[in-house]
Amino acid sequence: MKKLLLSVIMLSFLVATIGVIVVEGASRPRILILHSYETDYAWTRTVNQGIDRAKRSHMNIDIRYHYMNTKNQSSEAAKKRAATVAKRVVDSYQPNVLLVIDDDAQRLVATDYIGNEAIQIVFAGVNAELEAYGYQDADNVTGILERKSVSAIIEVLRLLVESQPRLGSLKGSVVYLSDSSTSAKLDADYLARQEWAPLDYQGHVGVKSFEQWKQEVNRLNGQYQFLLVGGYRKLFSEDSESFVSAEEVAQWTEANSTLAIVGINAFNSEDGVMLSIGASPFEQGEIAFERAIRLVEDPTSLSQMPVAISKQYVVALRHQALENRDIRVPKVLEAFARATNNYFE
Amino acid sequence: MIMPEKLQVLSQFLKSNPAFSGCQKEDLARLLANISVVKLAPGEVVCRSGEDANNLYYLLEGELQTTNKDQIKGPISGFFGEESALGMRSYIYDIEVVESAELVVLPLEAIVTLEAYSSFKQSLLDSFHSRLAGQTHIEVDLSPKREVEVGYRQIIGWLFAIITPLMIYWGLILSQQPLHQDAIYFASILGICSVMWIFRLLPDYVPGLFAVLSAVLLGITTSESAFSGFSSNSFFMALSILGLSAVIRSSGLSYRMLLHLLLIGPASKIWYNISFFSVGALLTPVVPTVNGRVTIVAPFLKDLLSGASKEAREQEGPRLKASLLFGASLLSPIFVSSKSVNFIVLGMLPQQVQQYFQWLDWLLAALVCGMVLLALYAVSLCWVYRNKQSLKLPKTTSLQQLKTLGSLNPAEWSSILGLIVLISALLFANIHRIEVAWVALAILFYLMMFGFLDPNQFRTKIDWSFLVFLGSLIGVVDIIHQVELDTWLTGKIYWLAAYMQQSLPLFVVLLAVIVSLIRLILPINATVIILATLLIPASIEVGVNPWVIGFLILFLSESFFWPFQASYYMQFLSLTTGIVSNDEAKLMKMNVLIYLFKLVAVYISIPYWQSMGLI
Repeated sequence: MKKLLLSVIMLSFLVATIGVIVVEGASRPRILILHSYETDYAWTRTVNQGIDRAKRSHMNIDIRYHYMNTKNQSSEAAKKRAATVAKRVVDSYQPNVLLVIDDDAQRLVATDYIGNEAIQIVFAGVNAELEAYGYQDADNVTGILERKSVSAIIEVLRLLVESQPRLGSLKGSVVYLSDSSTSAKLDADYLARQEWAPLDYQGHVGVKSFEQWKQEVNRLNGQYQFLLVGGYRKLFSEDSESFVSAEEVAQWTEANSTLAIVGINAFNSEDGVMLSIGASPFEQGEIAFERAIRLVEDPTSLSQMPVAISKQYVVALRHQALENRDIRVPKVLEAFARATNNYFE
Repeated sequence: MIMPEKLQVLSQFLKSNPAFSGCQKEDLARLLANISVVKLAPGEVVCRSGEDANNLYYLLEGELQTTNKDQIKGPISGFFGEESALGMRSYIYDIEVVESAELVVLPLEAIVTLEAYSSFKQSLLDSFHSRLAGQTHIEVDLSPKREVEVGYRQIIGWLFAIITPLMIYWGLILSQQPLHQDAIYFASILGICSVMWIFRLLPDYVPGLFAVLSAVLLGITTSESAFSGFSSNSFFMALSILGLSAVIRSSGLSYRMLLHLLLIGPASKIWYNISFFSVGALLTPVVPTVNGRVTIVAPFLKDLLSGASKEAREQEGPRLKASLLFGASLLSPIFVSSKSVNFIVLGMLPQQVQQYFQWLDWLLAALVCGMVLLALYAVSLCWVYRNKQSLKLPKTTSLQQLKTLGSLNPAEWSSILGLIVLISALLFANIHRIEVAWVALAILFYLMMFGFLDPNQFRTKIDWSFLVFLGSLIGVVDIIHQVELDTWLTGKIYWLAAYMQQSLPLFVVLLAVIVSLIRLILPINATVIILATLLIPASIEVGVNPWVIGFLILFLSESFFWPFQASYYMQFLSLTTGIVSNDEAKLMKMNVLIYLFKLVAVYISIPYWQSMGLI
């Protein structure tokens, strides 16, 4: 009798424990962070650092990351494969919030979940306009757009120019050179619409191969004051089968361009560019994740979250490249770059 | 207090007597403090029949004899009073001193710890048995214990273990490879491990442990990273499945399952083969070693064929034997939980792929391969082992056997419940939102809580050496990634990786050839680990889902052409010897066919994997 009683009590304990765990597990909200690229890309790593900044202890949220790796596998077939797998992950994980970072993941995956009542979408790192993905009228989408801060570029360049031995003033023309990728074209469209005074924005030159890139760099020498670069990861090599590495492009350009080169993404200086001013990936990650948590806690709050535009920027410096050009950097810029781990010796 | 010279005598006795040769020195040292030497005068009685058996004795010098009235009188030598150590309450002999004698007295409480040593117990049993048989003077085997022979393979292996890392180190340094110092060190360590695996110098898990330990000691990585495998999901999943499998094995559930299978189908040889295959196949997802499954299913052969005619045994027996063997082994790569090395491959995959290919998704992705292979296997089994011999066994025997087993015992119930919970957890993962590894661990907790897996079984029935192997190998993969050795290796075998991307069918053929060649010298686990280490990072580089490559390596490596290539087949042979004659030629034909069928199964699966976005 006692044995039976003991068994019943133990079984009750077990059932109660399982019940609590299953109920708690079933009600635990989920956030799936879907990256377009892999962690071998500095931008992705820094967005994740921004996400980590917004994480609180005891959130009781199940968080999972998925990387589509479309930067390394950029053929449309490879992107479609990555999208198929990512959609299966979304479907099986059934997140409450799908936090989607960068344009590829928006186009290939997130658009399928527009209007899905069970999943709310928070985007970040988006260069395109909302209309490109049908987000403008969606009632389950919010997020933060990634926009190049032209005012920040002007501000930083002014600081730089004024700190040179011969006190100068900011003037001259700017040209934007990039590959022919969609994101580079979107950036070019955006830059063309911005107010550049006192500089003079002279438009965009898009090329497909590294050979063309070299020719354009040589042609542009002497014609302008500043050379803006951003997207150069999709320049075909001579054999036309593979892309030239970003480091090779950046370092060749630094060595052969007589123009002062300005990257429009912070990671351009990691590749080798002397100075870069880019939208803050920390801000993208932080704002997006904060919104995701708010949506988990109160799904109806989406209507109170209009689409945000990036406000913060980061400055990155490549010490050797600046030294080669004999450019002095204001201490405040150097300190800023060092503080954000964007000062490269 | 014992005099020093007496202690020396006792020490010499413990060291030289063969009965103690298998005991640990620590136990013997403890025993020394509790035994004594006594001198007895002629006529004194050492022990008397019917007295409490409290001491074990050993005659050092002098003469003793048995004096029981109803037994043969005779001299005594060696041990006597064995009744005490063998668990008998009283002595059955009277033993008297003839000439002054010197005896070692071993009190019962002092020798309790030695009872765990089978060699000690066997010596006493032999001695006692001989005396019962009337042989009063027991000859003690004083020949030196035969030492384990050292083969040239081991000597050469250890020499290579010294030379290989030096060659790798200097080779990489001199050829100025773009590798960090840490990567060069770790490549040298991996060289040592490979030599140890190839020459089988140590059990599999020891080189794995050596690799992570060396990496920590050389400062290549942190201890947290090196030993991260021991806190991984794969580790706990494997631990839990091993626990559940231990209960299934000890409960007798599998035998009951076979009897039910035999009863529900017609009494025909086709059904017997299906039943034999099914038992192994049903055990495949829940018993995570082929050797374990083979141990469970092998006795069924004798059970079934004991009532069959000699002709039936000779003609149909080999096919039934093959059904048992392939039932336990054929579907191993299809379920992640069916083989230890599957867990290792799972642990080698990137985190997000691991999360994706948990149990059910692994099965879904491997399903087409499994189904095609199963269908082709069935056809080839019928063709290779075709015979006209009929085999019909009365169902009454199986029915009676089931009746003898009685109703399900609590351990069987607990196994069934564990299986139901595990399968439900897999099927309804989207509802309970708990990772399957933790559900499996909860099942293990339940089994331990209710005592179905007692502390002794937990220690002995769970393959801890495998778990150490698994944990350390996951750490090894992590370190390879940290030191960027994988990127370098990928560059070296880019020509092979390029086939993965450009033509998977061609890559499959190349891989099949490579696997066949490597399997001639390496065991399955080492083959899988080496190929997975090389090819999984390469697959990520070229954009093929690494699961596909991991699965292909497992699928093709899980084959053998010669018996020495598969330890589970050798074990199966030893367990079924004498029941059915071995038909090696037919088995070889089956193995070759199955290897070809595997290629067919992979080709048919390629469109399926494409539809899943895996390739």
